[in-house]
Amino acid sequence: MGPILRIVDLHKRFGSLEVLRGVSLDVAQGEVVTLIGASGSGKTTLLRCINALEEYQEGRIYLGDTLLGYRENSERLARLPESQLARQRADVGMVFQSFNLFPHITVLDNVALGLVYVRRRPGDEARRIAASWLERVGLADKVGAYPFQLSGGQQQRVAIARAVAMGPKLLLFDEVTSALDPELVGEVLSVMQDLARSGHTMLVVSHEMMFVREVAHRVIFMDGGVVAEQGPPDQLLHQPRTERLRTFLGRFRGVFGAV
Amino acid sequence: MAQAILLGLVQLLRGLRTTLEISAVVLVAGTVLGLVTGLALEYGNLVVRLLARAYVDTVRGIPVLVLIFACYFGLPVFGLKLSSFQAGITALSVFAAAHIAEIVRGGISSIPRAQTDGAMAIGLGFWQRLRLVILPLAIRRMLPPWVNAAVEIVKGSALLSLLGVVELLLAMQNVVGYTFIVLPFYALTALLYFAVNFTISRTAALLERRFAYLRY
Amino acid sequence: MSAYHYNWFLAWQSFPRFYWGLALGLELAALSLLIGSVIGAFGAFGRTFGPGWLRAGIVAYVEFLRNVPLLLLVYFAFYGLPKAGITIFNNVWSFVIALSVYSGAYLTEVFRAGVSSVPTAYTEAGKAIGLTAWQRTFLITLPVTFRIILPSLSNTFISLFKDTSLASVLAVPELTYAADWLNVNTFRTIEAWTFATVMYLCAGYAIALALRRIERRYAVIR
Repeated sequence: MGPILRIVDLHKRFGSLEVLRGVSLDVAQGEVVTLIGASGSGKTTLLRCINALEEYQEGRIYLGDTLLGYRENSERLARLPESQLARQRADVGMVFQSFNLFPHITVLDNVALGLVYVRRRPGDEARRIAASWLERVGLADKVGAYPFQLSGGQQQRVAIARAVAMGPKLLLFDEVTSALDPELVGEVLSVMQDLARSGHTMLVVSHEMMFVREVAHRVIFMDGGVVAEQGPPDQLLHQPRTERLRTFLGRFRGVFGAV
Repeated sequence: MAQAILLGLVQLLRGLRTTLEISAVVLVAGTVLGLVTGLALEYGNLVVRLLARAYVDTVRGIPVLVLIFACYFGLPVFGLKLSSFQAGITALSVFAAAHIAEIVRGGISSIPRAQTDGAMAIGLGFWQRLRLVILPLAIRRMLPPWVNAAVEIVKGSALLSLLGVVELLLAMQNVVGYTFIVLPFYALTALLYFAVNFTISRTAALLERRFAYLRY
Repeated sequence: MSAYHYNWFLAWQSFPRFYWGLALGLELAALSLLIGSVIGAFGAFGRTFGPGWLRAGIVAYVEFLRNVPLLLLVYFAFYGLPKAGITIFNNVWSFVIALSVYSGAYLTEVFRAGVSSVPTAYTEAGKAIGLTAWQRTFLITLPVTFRIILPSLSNTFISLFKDTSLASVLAVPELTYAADWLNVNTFRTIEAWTFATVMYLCAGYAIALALRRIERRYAVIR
């Protein structure tokens, strides 16, 4: 079985600024891969390119055997129309830093919306599936609540439920704990750990080094728009090979305990 | 004398009914056209956006009276034989739509990109996003200015009196003309306009409070 | 498009009428803005600092004027006031009165918002250096309020300029009346209303540009 996600030589420019300068990486089925790196290294942009929230100029992104976001036109890439992009996005789940829950519907409906309108499940079945995912993330008693009634940590857990209930092949996490108060971070990380143990394929951008060390199978360090180093967490975090990674980790001195 | 006054009151009420009819038709037509134009302004390609912009800016840049006269006198030249009522309603609808288009555009563009991202991320297509997420959220933002537009429409209906349409203002003028009772009927007419518009605004305030729980 | 003959030259001959009509319209708008601002300033202060009955009265005034058509007020000023025994004004002044009172209601709200958004930091600084309440009002509150509400005043002026078209019903020779005159006397409908439209658009655009420049000069630096 080939890798679930394959990124080949991805280049992305914002105007004259090249943010991704030839990124290549793979994620295998069931693997949990963390992306670390300084702000501006392109991590968030990379995630947004994968689920077609951003366009890119060169390179290819494959989900299984499917080319994402574009159609091959001899050697050139042609952007797919919006309706096809929507269908592709259904197979890639994304959890955002600012939750992005829909404020005008209940938590249950937030999770069920995609199931009804994209996966075309009947309303009752969708709500049942949604309720069971909400239970899984520990919010069974909040199904009728509106997002504004929940804490940040609770809202983020709903956002995770919303993404994973769609049954995607790949889950993307974009610094999902960065906007949370410190005491709420733990509940979100334990949900993510639970998902990792159940075998979900996850690509996580995070600063939470504890999580990286405990849960990730592989760590990728991005710097200046390229993959600078990658490897198992223990090796990467304790025996960095490149100078850039050493400098980056130097900022976290003391966080890992014995570094 | 008393008979004349009674007759006058009846005529005023008939005029009021015409005013309400005009306002209702213009509000509906203007909202539909305004919604389409607003979507065009926000999501259209360059040509569509430019055309919509030209329409909205031109119509909003001239007095509504000029638009009314232009429609009334000008449209027959192009072969469109309309009654004063129809010409007046057309002009007012075109005017209202231009204002409502701006309201719609403003409402939609005020929805944070995060909401669009979230809707895209779960695989909703463009029209689904619009129907399920963007418009429901935007409508709550658009309600106050839309209600203001409704009040302006009711006030604008008074201008149709200049085309001979017997709505409330012209009815008042007729009644004053043959009863020679001026101030009381002026006062009553003002009161009627006030009552209609005040009711519209109050209803809207109630609706707004109902949706006030939304915070994003 | 049956038998309509365009005659732009004929329309162009009447251009002075349009030009002077535009000028008159601007004058009417400016005058109404001035008087309306005085009403608005007093109304705002009365609403914020006045006794209960004054506040209620001002609220009634504002709510009433905002829900009634301007045309009704114009007719009232010209036909109704004489019946109430008030001196007969000519058509121009009747219109100015109507438009001033109308704009006064809107401007009361504009000034009120402006006054209440003057940061307390400024008035407290004034207190700290020993200014009296009246001094603070004239030296700090009013100038700052003016700068804050400048954009709203600009928009109000442009609205008032468009509202001056209603003066045409009293035969005041402003821009809309000029177009109407041309239409009725020469039947050059298209030319007449095109002229009017173009002139209103150009005037509006020019006014907006001029006002933006003034705004930039006096913009509040927070």
